[in-house]
Amino acid sequence: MKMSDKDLDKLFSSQLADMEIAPSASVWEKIKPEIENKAEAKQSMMTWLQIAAAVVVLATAAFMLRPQTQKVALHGEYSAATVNTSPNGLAITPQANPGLGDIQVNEGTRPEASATPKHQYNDGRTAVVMPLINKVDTTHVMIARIEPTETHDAAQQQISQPVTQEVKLINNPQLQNNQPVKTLAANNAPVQKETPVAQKKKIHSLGDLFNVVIAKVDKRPNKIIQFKDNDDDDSEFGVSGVNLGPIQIKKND
Amino acid sequence: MFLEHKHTIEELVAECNKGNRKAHEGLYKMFAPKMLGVCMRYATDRMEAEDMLQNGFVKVFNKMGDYRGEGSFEGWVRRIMVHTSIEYYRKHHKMMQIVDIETPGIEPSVDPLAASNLGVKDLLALIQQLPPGYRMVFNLYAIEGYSHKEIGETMAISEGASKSQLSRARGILKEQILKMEGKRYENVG
Repeated sequence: MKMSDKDLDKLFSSQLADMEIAPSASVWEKIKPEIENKAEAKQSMMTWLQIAAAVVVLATAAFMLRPQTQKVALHGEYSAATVNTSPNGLAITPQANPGLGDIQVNEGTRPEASATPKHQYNDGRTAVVMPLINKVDTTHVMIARIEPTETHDAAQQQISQPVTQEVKLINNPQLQNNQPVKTLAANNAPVQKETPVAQKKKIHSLGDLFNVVIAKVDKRPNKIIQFKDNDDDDSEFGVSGVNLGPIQIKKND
Repeated sequence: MFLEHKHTIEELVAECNKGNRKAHEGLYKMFAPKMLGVCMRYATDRMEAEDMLQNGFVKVFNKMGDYRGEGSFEGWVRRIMVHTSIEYYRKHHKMMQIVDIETPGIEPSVDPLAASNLGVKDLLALIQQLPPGYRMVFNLYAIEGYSHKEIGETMAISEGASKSQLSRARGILKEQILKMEGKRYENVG
């Protein structure tokens, strides 16, 4: 009697397919160190990846927050000359290099200050002449615009050399030619746009505090990171804007 | 009971993926005897089979994340064992390539009733005595249920080579069974 191929296959598969044989204990002992090594290698790999990611983040942050030596790059057009076109006007041209802070007074100026303490405007406001104008305020440039009196060359100009990079220009439209204004002095006038608001107002929340510190370092209008400063409604603490150069996120509410 | 068992395997797999070493050992203990049974069919002896088992389980634990719950976990482990066994032979035995000889030979006639007396040990010994290439193909076809196409892909041989190796393997096995039967009759008589 012949055995068919099928029968032969069946004979083997029925007997051997579910065969169980207990392995010797040494097999597990050999497997164990291999899977442990793999697990450890995986773990150390993860640690290295995390370190690498942290380095990248820090390097990016350092690059973004590096000390700005060229102010022009961040503030756009800065070398604009403010020109008063009036016949007795005054053209002030701060140099692009703020360290020098050269300010040229083109016309009808007189170096000496002969300021009267006060002058009454037509509309009743008072212009306070700065007696302390010669005490150099190291943080602000003070420019006094003096209108001509009877003689045209009576206009006067007071300039203190800027020590820092901040330069403020006062070009008060109220200052008309025919107004008998003698002196207009400005000190700490809140004109400059770039000055962060956070510096001016009180710090209400933790977010504010961060914003102030960040504003000190990051001079751009969109800070590298900005926090919510909703001090009145709820004291929720969160990020309201991120600026990583190409990646900019700003929350408007 | 079956569900409970399945749940335990899934739990063990999840724990393994978390890096729980106890779970690794638990899974090993659960499947090692069955898988050694698989490897034994592909190996020449027990030592080789245990080597295959070791390699196979290291692979199982490393690839655990790839198991997506499709099909039974045991089936997945078994497939890895089979592939590891074939790979093992590729590395350790270069004589996998077998010349196709179209000689059907004389089919030995075996009495199926007599053959049924053969035990697991006898049949295992018969398979292990086959040349490695024949053994692989016969295992894959007769016991794992692979098609010739699948065998060709798994072993990197042609479908025709798979067919001819299977028929030669069968021929040898029948011959061997006949011999064993003969011996048995001699002993009895």
